Amino acid sequence: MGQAVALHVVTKVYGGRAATVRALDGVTVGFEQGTFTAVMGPSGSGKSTLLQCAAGLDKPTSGEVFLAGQSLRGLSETKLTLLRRGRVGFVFQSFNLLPSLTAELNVALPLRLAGQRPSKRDVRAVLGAVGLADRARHRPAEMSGGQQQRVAIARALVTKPEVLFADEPTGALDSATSREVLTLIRDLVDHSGQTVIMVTHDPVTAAYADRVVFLADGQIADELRGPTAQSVAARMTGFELTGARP
Amino acid sequence: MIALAWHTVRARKASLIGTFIALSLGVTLLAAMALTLASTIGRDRPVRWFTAADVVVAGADSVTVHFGSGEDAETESVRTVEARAVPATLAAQLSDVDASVLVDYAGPASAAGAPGSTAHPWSSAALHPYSWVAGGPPSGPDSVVLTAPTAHRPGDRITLQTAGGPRAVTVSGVLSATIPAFYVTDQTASELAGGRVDAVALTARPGTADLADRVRAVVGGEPVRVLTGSHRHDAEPAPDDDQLVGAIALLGSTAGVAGFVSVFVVAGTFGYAVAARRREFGLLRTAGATPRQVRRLVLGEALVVGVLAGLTGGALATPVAKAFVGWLTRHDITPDNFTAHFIFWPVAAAFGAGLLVAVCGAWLAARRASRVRPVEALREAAVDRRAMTAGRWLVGLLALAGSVPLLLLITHARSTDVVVLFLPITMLLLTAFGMLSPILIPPLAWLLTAPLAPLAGPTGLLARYSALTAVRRTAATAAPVLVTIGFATATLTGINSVLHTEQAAARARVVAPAIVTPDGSAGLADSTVTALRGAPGVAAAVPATDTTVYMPQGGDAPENWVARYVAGPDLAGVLALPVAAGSLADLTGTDTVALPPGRWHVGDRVRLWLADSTEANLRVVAVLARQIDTEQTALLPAALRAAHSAHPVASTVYLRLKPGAPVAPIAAVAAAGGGKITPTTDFLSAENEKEARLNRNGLIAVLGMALLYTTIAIANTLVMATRDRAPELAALRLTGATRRQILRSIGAEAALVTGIGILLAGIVTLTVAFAVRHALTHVAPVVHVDIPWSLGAAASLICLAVALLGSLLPATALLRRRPVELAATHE
Repeated sequence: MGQAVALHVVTKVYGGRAATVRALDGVTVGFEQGTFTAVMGPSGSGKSTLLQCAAGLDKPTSGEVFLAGQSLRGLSETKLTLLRRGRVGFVFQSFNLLPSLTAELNVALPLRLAGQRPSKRDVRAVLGAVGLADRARHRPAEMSGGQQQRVAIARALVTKPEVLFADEPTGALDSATSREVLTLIRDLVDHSGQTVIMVTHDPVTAAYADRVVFLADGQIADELRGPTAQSVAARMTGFELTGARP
Repeated sequence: MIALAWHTVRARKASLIGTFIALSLGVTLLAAMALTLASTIGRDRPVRWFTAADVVVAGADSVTVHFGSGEDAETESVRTVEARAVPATLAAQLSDVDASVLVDYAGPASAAGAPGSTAHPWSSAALHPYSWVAGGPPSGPDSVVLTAPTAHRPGDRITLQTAGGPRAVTVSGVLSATIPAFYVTDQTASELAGGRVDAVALTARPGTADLADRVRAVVGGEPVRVLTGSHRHDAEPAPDDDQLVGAIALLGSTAGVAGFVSVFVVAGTFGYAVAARRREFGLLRTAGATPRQVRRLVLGEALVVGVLAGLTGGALATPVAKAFVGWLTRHDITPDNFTAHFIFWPVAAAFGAGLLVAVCGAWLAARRASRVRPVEALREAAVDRRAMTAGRWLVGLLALAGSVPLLLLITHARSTDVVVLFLPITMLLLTAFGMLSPILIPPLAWLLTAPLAPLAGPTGLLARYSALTAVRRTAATAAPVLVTIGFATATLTGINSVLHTEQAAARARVVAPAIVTPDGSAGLADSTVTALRGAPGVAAAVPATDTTVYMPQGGDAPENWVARYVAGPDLAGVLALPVAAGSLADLTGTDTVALPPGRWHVGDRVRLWLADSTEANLRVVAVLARQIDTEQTALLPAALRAAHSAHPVASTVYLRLKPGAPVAPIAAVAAAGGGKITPTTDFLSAENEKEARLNRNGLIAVLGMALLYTTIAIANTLVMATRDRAPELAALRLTGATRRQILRSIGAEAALVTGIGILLAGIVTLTVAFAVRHALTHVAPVVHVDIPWSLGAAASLICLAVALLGSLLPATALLRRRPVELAATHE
């Protein structure tokens, strides 16, 4: 199987004259198609930066990012937007739905923006897949947090993206609702072959993935396949003890 | 809490700039207009003619009525346009007072190429300082001294137009003085004034005292004024005063409009700014702030911004007022010597009013925001489920209810006085529609977008949904558009419709084919009218003299009416005035009058006051029909004029011509008498144009600054609203929208919001148009409802351009940041 996303010696430096922060420090990592990867690490380890660079939301200071085999280097902001629109889906901790649009209009929006006329049936089918067929006409403010996040997932999936990026997707949800959302994502990987890259700091959440990549100080520190909540937690604990700075 | 408010003011600098701009410019506008108005009061009125006199005796110039009795007794006084003559016997008695006494005459006089409109005795030149430019005093009955600037020089032969007709005179000298006048010998001055004494000036001899008291003792109960000190100015020829009286009325309207738009914009901006921060208040509430603390925070902030903005506005007021007065003077609305200067109380009042409105606007919105439960506040975000608040209902319905009686008044008043009602009516309707707009926005947005919906791409869809769900934001941004366009078109519709209808009526009344009017002179002398009658081809020449009468109003001050002295029997054939009862042919002698219907019947006796404040007891011989041009109009017999005017000359002479009569010889006769002949149609269109220009400048003076302010407010609210949409733009970016798509959608929404404002303004304008049509239908031969389409279109385009700039520029700035950063500004 090919690589859906690959990072090659990617470095990202933030900051101005006074102090610079190396958020990513020569990271090389690949994500295979049809797999579900969790990226973990303590606060400030660079996990969100890694996700943003991999998704083309942010440009690395050096190194190269490949999305579905295509290099992102040198692409203009408009080209990047078009590429993201076609190939990538996003889910964030804050759901980022448009408050003025109903669930179905929110879901259909990426297709409309791409100049397509989505059929109502297709949109309803995607909403059905996330279990919200009966909420199509509700506005975000009229739905629970879990429902809003499922609408956000449906919107991310409607363009049939090659990669779904999720940044703490359950961060704003209670544990029961988190479970629902994670089971939904797991099903997408198992039954539709969806590639998913998810950033989290919660071992229980990470345990839903096929593989866990650990980041520390902007570098890949470790990797774990077939994780369980216990094994992840154990690795994290050891990791934070050795990895944490004084 | 004030300390915390100070911190939030500093932290939220960017979003508070919007409220600061709205308030500081609002206070600037209000204070500048109040300053201009206040500068007209207590203005220095230097004595310029009677400088050397200690006491001036002049004829009475006011009408005083007493009504009620006992506790409720009241006195009302009205100043008339002319003063009475000083009785000749009194002038003679005053000559016996131990002082140097000078009798001043002021007969109408004018000459081409020299300033001034009255002829005075040469001895009156000693009353004030002057300096010779050339020549010397008048030497005989045909000799005159002119006032500079003039091109004439001693020895020039000129024609002096006087009440007795044209008079060939020789210039004996030219002098320079502050008040222009023609100086002739004392004997000639008396002759030119028809013996009418304008004033008696007395100067105390050295070593004598109490001159004023001695004069008062001589005067006794005669209808004259004994003036000393700065009051001497009241007896002087002062053309500036009339202009300033008109300007004060205009400036009153200007200040009223300024007050209205400042309150409207400031309250709206502060209310919106607080409402847009509900999420922040929700967070404060979750952090443990009580509703009371949130309210105090908002009030504290409003106070901090209000004081800073008020001080800024107060500081800007004086230069703005000076610039405004400069414009007024250049357009002949205020006299040349009128200036605005800093006065404490109007600026302080504007400061206080601005602060009060800002705090009230913020408080109302804060009360609502603070009542919401924390979680709810966090969730409600940009969707306004209850944009219509109780306050909006209350103010909106009250304003609507308030406009109804005024609209009814217009439809029943049947007079040109309704013109003054259009400003308050427009203000009330604008308030009503502005307040009720949240319920009108969904249908209007649907109306505007439905025809385009099948064509609109995703950007159009976004714009439409966004405008429809964020009703509060839409209402806030559409409001200044509504005020800008609505104010301009609605007032102009009302005023122009009445004026044009009135002009059409005037045109319909004149059946004479030609008219002679003064060409720079004070009026046409009786001898000129006689000469015109004798001119070849003239079948009839009928003079009319414009004047004013003061009608008793029961329990109120006498009302100022338009009046004309005409010769009743001659009117047929030159003027077709609508008569309901009696006959204009009976308008003869010195004790008859024709009046509009209502209070009088033919045969009634009417007590009224003439222009020079003398009381007249007249018999009604004709009742005019109820028409727009007969409202508050009286016709007086020509013979009554002689004893009651310092200007016994005609304002207009109507000519009836024999078939095929050549114009040239008639024009020559008219020119000899200081007049010019015009075909009636040309005359009316020239008059209309003059009036239209005056009206246009007046309207610009009243509305210009206010509309400039509301146009800035359009950009200001849109910049505020767009900046608040950072999270939404981020979500769109993350959904895959390109910058161009987002800008197109923001632009489409700005256009939609402007369109809603335009439609609301259209509703207000049509309401006024409907009322004015209804009002005029039965009182005019032809009704012109004049909606200024081109002005409305131009104003709409300007608003659209400003709205697009105000939303696209901040959106472009926001889009320059990376979408993840934008998303982060969310929390």
